[in-house]
Amino acid sequence: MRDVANLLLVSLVGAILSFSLYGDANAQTRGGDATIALYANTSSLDPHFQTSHIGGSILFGMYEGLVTVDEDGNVIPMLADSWSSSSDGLSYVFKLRENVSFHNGKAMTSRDVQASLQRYLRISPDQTMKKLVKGIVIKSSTEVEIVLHQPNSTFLSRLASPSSPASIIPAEQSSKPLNHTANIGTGPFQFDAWVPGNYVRLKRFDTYSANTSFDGPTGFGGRKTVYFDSVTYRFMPETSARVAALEAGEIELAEEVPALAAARLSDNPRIRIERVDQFNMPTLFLNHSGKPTNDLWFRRAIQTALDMNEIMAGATDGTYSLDNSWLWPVDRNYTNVGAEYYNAHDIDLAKTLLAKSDYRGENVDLLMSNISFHKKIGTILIEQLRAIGLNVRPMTVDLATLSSVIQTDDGWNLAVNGFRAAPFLGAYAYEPIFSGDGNWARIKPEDNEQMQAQWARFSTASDIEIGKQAWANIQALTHSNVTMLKLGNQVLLVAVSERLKGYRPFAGGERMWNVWFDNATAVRLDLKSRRIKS
Amino acid sequence: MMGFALKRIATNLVVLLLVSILAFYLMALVPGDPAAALAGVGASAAEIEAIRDQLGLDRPLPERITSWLIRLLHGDLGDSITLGQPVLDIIGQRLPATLSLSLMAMTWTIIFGVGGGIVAAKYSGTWIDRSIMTTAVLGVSMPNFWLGFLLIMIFGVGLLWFPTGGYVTLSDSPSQWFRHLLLPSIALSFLQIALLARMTRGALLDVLGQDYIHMAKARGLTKSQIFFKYALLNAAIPIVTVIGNTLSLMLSGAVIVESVFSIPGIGELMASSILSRDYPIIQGALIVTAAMFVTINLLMDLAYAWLNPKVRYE
Repeated sequence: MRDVANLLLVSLVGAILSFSLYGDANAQTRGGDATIALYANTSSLDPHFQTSHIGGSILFGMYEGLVTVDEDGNVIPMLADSWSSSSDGLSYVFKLRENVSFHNGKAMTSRDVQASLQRYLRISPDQTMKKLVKGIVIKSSTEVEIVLHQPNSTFLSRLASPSSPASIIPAEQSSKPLNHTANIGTGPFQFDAWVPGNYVRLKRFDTYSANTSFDGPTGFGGRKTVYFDSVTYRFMPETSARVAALEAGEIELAEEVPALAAARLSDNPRIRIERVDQFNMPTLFLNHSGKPTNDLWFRRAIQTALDMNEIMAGATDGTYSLDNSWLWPVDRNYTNVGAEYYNAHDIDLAKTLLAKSDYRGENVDLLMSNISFHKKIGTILIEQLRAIGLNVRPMTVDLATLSSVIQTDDGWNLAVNGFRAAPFLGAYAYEPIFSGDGNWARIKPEDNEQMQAQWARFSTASDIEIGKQAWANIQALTHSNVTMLKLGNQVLLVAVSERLKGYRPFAGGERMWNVWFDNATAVRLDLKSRRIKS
Repeated sequence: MMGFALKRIATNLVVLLLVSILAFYLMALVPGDPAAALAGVGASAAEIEAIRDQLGLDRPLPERITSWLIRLLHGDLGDSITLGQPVLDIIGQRLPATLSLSLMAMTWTIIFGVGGGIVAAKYSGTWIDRSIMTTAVLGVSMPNFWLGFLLIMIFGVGLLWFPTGGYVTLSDSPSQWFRHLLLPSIALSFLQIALLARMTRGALLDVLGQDYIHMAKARGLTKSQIFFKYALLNAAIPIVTVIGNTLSLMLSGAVIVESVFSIPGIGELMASSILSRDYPIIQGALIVTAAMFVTINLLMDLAYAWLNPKVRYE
């Protein structure tokens, strides 16, 4: 009888424990210190001078702008409650949200917005905005007007761009030069510590004023709630180190995990793999300013020869998709126009086209960076181009050298590179790449008039359909003129601890709001509690 | 001895000055600039030019190098282009990690390298000697990054005894400092232990075959007296040379181990600064590294002079 009683007691305790541990596994739990591993270092935390995905992951926790982007890259209000534009498109008036305060406790006013935007125009590398904005006027303590020199349909997208954020900071910080501002914003996280090369730690901003006009978070905006006490962003460029740290339970998230490692990790019950389909568009750049790539027949021969399936499969270990568009399918301007030119892989036709060109066996310099992904692409490209008779001369350099050399007319014919920010931001982000004096194909403006005309149409489009048509024409031109050759879509794999709940991968960067620890999962999976507190 | 030391210090200062000028010119010759790296993919030439103007990179090279040298003489290495902080502060943040790693690795190298070599020489031809030399061959053949990953997988991921990477300062927690550096210091030192053990063994065996050792035996000195007082002291010069070179190799080899173990050291700083073309940091780190190499060489020279007085008069 005593044994039966003991058994019942043990069962009862077990049931209570089970209920408490597993009963409400998805309830948001406040507290905890999360650590995530970023695949590269950040060199700047300036609120107005950030161009990298890595910096964005950290900055958008601390800083917010008047407007931002939602999950699909559309413009949504953030610190602005609403906005209106004049009928001539020359003026935008932003009404500010009330009761928003900075991390230093000061309330945000229109003076802060004016001063921040003036600094943004001074510091940001986005030259287009500098040329576009005529003035910033305080209408009242809660209203700011931005006046443009000429109407531009891309203005709001540029203002919301995570690539060059127009963050709002206290007015007294706005006179500070590049990289010298105190890290004070209005975001749900506030700055705690930065050891360059090692980590950045943000802590929860307890008096954060969430945007209640949204039901939940979306993109870099919406209603954000922070559950963690702190989030540490560790810089771990070495892939194996990130994977090992995740397996050892030292971190909760590892960015950019190679496909083969992801396959192995997916067998681990403590880890799940998330995909970001809209990550990177590897692209072959062609130098239009020098022989032999200035010859359209020659460029068409290259375009016709390439087998994108082989290139992408070899470079990504199978995590890719093929698509000729320069935009992601969720973009309102997405189109497949020009698909007939893409992924032809017709060697005979390529040889015929090559015979029509002026190419006589001279060296074709292929520039690639020492990044493993680029080298893999380059290696396959060399074989495919040699198959049609090109005398390809590979040159491997570091990324900084590549970025510099392809901005000159000499020293290269082909270069392996890619686009991450541009397709995420939308069509307008391609303007400096395909058009203008410093275009990345080195096309002289007088040879690029059709392209520039279409960009003028796009920028001044009065309605969406006109803009879409102009963009379709631009994309068609990039294919028919072989401006550049998009190779495919690279998928980003993120390895995440099962303990981390609410996490959703995002092409714009990591978001650690509305993410929490599920302690029940931690107990069930017997996760080690050992943490690294560096 | 003092005159010898002063002469060597003066020579080394000239070397440092030449290194600094050469480093500046070499960086300027390398294609790529920090403005392009900061602007990122998709930036136009105008955007890059605007950044270059902000950073003062549009000034002529002689003007930049002159102002840099003048600041250097005042102990100012300038500000980082990308981080906006004084270079000296940035290097000061990173140097302790690299020095900690290198000195801990050096400690293992001296203890196990010299110790292993002595034991192998003392028991030459026995199974002890063969075991030590077999391990040494293994060590010489094993790249430190590969050993690093192996240690991480076994002791970090498998057994969970040590962290897989990162760095904690000695002042924050001495025990965590040691735990974080143990695996990387083993990875960094293994090759050097092997080299030093072989070197020590060879040098000792050479000395043990000399006539004055036979003479010492004939005089009736004990084996220990002969080994430690005569043989080891006379074999010290090549061993000191190898130890000095080893420390230099460790400082440069730390780049890879720092990367594998995510340690924010001077090697990682230089690698990332080269990628972003952050000239002031690269030049500052080169000067500091060159100063360390020069100091190691100076200490080696002084050690030679102390061990062998003939060196002072050459």
